[in-house]
Amino acid sequence: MSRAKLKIKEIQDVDPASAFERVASEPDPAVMRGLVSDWPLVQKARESAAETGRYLLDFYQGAPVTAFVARPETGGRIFYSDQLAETNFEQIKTRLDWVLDQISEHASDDAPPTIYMGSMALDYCLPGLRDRNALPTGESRATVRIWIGNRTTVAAHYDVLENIACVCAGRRRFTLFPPDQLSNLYVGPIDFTPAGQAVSLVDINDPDLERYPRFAEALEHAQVAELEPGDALYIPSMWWHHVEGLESFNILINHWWRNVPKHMGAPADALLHAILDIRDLPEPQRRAWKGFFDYYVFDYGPETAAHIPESRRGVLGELDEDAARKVRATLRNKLNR
Amino acid sequence: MTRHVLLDNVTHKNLRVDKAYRKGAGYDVNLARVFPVEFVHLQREYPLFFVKNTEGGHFEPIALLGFSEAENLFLGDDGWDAGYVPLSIQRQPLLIGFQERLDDGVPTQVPVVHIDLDHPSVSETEGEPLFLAHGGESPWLERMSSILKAIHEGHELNQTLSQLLVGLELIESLVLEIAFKDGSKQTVKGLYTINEEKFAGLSANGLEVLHRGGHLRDIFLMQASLANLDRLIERKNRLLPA
Repeated sequence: MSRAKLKIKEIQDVDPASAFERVASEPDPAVMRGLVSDWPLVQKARESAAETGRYLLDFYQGAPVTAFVARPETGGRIFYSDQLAETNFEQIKTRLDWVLDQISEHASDDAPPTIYMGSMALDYCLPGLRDRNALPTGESRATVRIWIGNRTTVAAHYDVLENIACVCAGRRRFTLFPPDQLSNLYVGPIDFTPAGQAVSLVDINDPDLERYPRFAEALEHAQVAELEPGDALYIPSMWWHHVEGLESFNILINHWWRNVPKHMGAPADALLHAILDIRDLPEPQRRAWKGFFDYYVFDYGPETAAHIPESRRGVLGELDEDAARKVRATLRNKLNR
Repeated sequence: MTRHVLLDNVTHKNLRVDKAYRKGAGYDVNLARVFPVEFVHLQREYPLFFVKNTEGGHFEPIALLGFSEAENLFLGDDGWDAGYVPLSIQRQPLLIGFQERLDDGVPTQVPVVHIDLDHPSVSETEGEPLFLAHGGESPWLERMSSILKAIHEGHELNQTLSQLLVGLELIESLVLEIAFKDGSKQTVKGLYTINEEKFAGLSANGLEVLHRGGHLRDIFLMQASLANLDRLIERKNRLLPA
C-alpha cells in the first residue's frame, strides 16, 4: 500500500524510437506502459527467472561489478545504521554470475539477505545487450545503466540527470516528490550518503510523523506508480524518487542524460561552494548576496548585461566552451588557499 | 618501517617534508625504480637495468645506485650528488594509492595520494608544508602530485615495454662481478639487461613494433647508460682506502 495521494500521469502511444524527444516536452513525470515490451530481456523475464539469468550471462564477459549486500533484518532498505553511524550494507566487488546465483538461491526465503547491483554501466557489464535492450539514445549521449536485485527499497533521492527507467523483470514502485518538497522530506547528510546521493530519512512505508511532521505535507504532493516488465517511467531531473523493487528478482535498465552544454559541471558543487563562502556571512551580507545570485544567476536574461558593450560582457555574456574554461581555471586557482 | 595512509588536509594539516638527501634519511637504497619518461636525464648519470617484479613477473627498469643493499653512492655530504634525481626518489615520502569508485557506472581504481608517516623526512617542524593555511595544496604538494601522475603513467608504460621485450626475447639476466681498488669483490645478482646480439639481429618487423611505441629510443638510452657503471665503481673506489 502506498500512502501517496496522487498517481503519476500516464501518456499513451509513445514510440520508443522518439521517447527522449517526447518526454523533453513533458514538465512532469510520466508513465509509458509497455514502452519496451518487445525487448528480448522483457520477453525472457515473462518466461522465468532462470531464462532471464541465462540470457544475461550470454552477454557477460566477466567484468568485475560492485554490489551491495545486507543482512535480512534490513528488510531490503538500502540505508544507514542507527544514528547514521555507517551504512547498513556492505559494498563488495564481485561478478554478475555471483549476484544472480545469490538472488536465485534466496528467491523463496521469507527473509532473504539483500543483494543489489545498482547503476552498473550496461556496456561495461553486459557488452552487446544494449543493441536490442535499450532505447536509442541518439544525440542525447545518454548513459545506460542496469540495476539487478531482490526486494529493495531506496529512500527518496534526486538526480541531476533526466531519466527514463524501464522495468525489465519483477515489479517496481516509484514514489515521486516534486523538487519543491525538499524541506518536507527531511533529507539526510549531503556528504555522507548511502549510495552517492542524499536521501530522505523518513521511512515512507512507516513514516514517524511525530518526528517528521512536515512529511505529511510531502505525501500530499507525492505521485506513485507501479511498473511491470515492459513499462517505463520518465523521471524529470531534480524530482525526488523513492524506489522499491517488489519481487524476489528485479531488473531495471535506465537512461540518464542532460540537456545542457557539456562544459557545465555539477550544480551541487556550486551549492557546496556557497555553503563554504556564503551561508555563514552576517545576515545583511547574506541577504545582499541572495540579491546578487537572483540578479546574476536565477533571474539571468538578456536584460542582465544589456547595458554593457557586448565585447566587454565577459562571464555576464554568453558562456561558451572557451569562456567556461577560463572560469574553471580562475575558480581552481582561487579555491587553492 | 613504513606507515602508509591516505593524505588528507585535516589530519595532516601541520605536516612538513624536509627533503634532505643524506644517509639515514630514508634514501639508503641501492636501486631506484625508473620510468621511460626520465631515461634521457637518467642515462647521463646512472647505469640502468631491469629487475623482475616478484608479484607480476614482468621486468621493471631501475637505476643502480650502489652495489650492496642499502648502499646509495649518490648520497653525499651536500645532498644528492647528481644533476638529476629519479622521480621515485623525488616523490618520497608520498606515494600513489588507489580508491575504488564508480566512474560513469564503471568500477574504477582512482589514484590518490598517500603518505608514509614513518618516513624520516616527515615532521611538523622542518621543511616544506604540504598544505596552505586553509587546506589548499602547497606549491610543493602540487609539484609532487604531477610527479606522482607521471609515475602512475610510467608504471603502465613499463608494463608495455616489458611485454614487448619479453615477446621479442630481448631480455637476458646478468650478474655483475666487480673488483674494487682495495682488492675487495662484490657480486650483484638479480639484474637483467638487453641482449645485444639478439637486438642486433632483430627483424625489420621487430624494429617497427618497438619503434611505433617509442621504445627503440628507450632501449638505446638504456644501452648508453651502461657506460655509467664504470663511474659508479669509481664513486665506490673514492670511498675506499688507497
